[in-house]
Amino acid sequence: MTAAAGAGDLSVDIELGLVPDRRVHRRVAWDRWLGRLLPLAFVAVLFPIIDLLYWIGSEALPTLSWTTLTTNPVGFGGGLYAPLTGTVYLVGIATAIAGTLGIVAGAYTAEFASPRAALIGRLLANLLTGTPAIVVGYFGYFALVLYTHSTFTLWAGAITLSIFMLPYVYRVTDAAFGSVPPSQREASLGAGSTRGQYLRRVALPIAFPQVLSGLFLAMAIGAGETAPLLFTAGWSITPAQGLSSPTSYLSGFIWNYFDQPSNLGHLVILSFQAAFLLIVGVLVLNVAVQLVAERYRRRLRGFFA
Amino acid sequence: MEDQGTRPALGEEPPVVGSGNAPAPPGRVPPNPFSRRSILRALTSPVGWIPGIFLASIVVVLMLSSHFQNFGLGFFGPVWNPNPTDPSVATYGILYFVIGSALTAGFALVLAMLLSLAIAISLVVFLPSPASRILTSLTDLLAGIPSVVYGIWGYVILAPYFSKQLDPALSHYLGWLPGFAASPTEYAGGTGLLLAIFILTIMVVPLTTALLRESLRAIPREQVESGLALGATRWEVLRRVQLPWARRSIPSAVLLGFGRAVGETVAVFMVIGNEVKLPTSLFSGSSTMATLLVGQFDSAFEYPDLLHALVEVALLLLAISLVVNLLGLRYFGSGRMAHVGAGA
Amino acid sequence: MSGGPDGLPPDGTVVGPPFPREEIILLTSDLTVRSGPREILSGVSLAFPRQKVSAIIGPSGCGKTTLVRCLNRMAELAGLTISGEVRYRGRDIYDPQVNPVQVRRRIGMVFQRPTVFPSSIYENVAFGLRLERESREVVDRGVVRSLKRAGLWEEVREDLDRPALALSGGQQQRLCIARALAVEPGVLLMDEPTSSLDPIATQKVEDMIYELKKEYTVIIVTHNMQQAARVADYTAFLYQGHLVEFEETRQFFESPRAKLTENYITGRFG
Repeated sequence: MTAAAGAGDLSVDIELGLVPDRRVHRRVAWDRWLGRLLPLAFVAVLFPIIDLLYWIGSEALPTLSWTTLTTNPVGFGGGLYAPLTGTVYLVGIATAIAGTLGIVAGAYTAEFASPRAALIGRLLANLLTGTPAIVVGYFGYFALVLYTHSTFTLWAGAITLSIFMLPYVYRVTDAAFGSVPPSQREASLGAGSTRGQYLRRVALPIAFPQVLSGLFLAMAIGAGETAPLLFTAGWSITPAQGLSSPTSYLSGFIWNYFDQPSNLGHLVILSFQAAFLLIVGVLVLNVAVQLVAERYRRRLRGFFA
Repeated sequence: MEDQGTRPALGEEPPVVGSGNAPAPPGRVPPNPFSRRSILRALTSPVGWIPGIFLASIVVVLMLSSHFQNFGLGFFGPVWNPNPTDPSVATYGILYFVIGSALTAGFALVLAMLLSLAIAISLVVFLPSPASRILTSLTDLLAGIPSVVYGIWGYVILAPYFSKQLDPALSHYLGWLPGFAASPTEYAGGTGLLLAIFILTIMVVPLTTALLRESLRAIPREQVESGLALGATRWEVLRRVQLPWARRSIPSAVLLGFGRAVGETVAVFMVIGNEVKLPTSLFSGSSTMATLLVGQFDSAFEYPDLLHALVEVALLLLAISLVVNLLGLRYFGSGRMAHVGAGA
Repeated sequence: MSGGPDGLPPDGTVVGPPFPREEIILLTSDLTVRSGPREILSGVSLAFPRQKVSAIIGPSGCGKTTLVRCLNRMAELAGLTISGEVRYRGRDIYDPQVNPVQVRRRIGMVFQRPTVFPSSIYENVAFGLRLERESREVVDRGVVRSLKRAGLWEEVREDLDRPALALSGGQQQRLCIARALAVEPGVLLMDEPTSSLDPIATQKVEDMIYELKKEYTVIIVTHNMQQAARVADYTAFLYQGHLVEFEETRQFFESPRAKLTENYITGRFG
């Protein structure tokens, strides 16, 4: 710091890098190039997905009509009423089971379990998430079909599906109750409420949006699954005759007819439409998850502000 | 929620900061292990383990359904030959399925890790925050596209493209590389290892991206700012501050991604060609352990031992997924996984 | 906003400077910072003399942290909109031709909490030098010199290879200062550097700041008026994003010009 300060001073220009310095220039140029190069990986991933969405849309949309949704598949025509309602039943029942068990277990883990028990519970839930769907399917077949001397049934499919969905609900619920600001907890317990009252009246309203987004997430995952259902819910092209008979479902429709020869082309078209309906359903649920999560973030921000 | 009864004795309560409960009076008698409260607590404690109980029952039921004694070491041999009439000549060797699983999951994972490292770094370091937020949601959405939809797309659209365009070009220009030399009959249908790897890569990227992204984001902001304040570029901060912090997450993301890839069934079955043989090139039809499970189930009742052999494969697959997930979760503990959402 | 709340000078007025013009090393002129619709700094014009310690004080939320973060272009990382000028030795550092990387090298920064990297003591101090791929000898010399200046050399000379996170909080903060000094900045910005330290560690850092001004220009943000009175040659008072007063420290505390300053230093608010 010897030269006097003043405009036009060369030493300042050197200090601020206005006089080109090869070393700095190289570092900054490298940084800039990587900043342009690495985001290209998005193109590599998003381009195929856009192709997929565009293709399925252009195959399914022109022929999709109200009758597609309201008639059963028959011979050389018909619609997707049976698989659509089948998926709704399966996911509905599975959500009821996984939702109840997952919320109870998640809230228990966040609030009552000892730290060690909570750690084990979360670890096992994460392991269940990582269990291949086909393995869960085999389990479902043995436990709910073979050993009960039953056949493929809707309820076996729904229960198997709920096992697959359960850890998602559990994890989100646990995180939601765990992220309730401690001040709320202290205020409530300090005012003399029991932990149950605290959970119901204080924690649940705060955690609810996140729990709801966990339910949507689990529904989206369940709706698209195929492997756990093939050996439990079986397959039927007509609507299920009740909970104790095989059922039709969208993912199974695709699975069964995607490679039909061209003289059965209408079945192939229907399977495209089934894929389209699945994607729409799953994307709607996922967007709902993100919207709910966003609202939740805003709400929480209010607590910490 | 049976709260009244499950409220634990004070001594064993988790250390909750500032919990409003009154402190234990001095000289209190130790909790009676047979008190109503203790018994209730013991009875209700498995409530938090419900997912774990299901996992345990999966393990137990599959173990009970298996017949380990039926197959010896030949189980890992190359010949898979169920015989409907004479079970004594049937052989169940899963070597080619193991090879198929290893090749598809292994290659898909290498590609997915490269892509998701680039994507995670872009999201956390390089992209401006609105773009980063939108693209984060978008990559999370990708995780939601059902497996069977990827499968039908691969079978109907990609397979013809691979057989007519991509495979001939690859074998023409890269034929000197091992794995790329093939006769045109081999890629006639377009289905095979390469297509399965392609589909699997796209399916695994959302998970590995989410894991890497969250581990990069978990680094304290002050660390990043201090690096920048010392005159480092964003890349230099990434390499010298963020990556050393997140280093341990990379092998974990590899493991969790591998667990996902090796268990993927439906989409792979639809595009892999389902041949039981030693692959001669990347264009060969092949099978994986998972596709074996879904592909041969229907015939399991015509062959005496087949169902048992399949259960063994299911158990092996379960064991692999448990081990890789257990190792992978050492880094991505429960706290970190909660942010990963559908990707996990 | 022409006059601001009671007693505030109109925006853009340079308060002071109470020193000769050629002593100015860093100068802000009409510096305004917005976060969305909210104005964090409103037309702050301020000149900092070289080889002196200048303190910026004010109640929390007054914008003092944002102000120092504008001085080395860290504020733009948080997505803040910055208008006005910041001149380092006469050059506008927000000129499009100026690279922020180079600015941050010349104008170093130390944060509220110690932010040592999870590597060895040596590697922490060498961080900035390694970026330029300096030779081994240059790095060695730089590390020793900076540790000595930060008054840490005697305490750590035996265990330069030990993890920096094993140091005490006060040592960590002095290590961060050494790390910032290693790249030979012209100005050192300190954002409440002692707010997480105990009185003894604080004392050591303050002693060091006193030594540093022989060679460096130090600008320190503090919420602690006594600290400003102890270490600073000049003190600025910031209130609700407006610069209220900038004065030689003794003058500032003994006979402040603005009523607002007097109220603040006598503890009537803040």
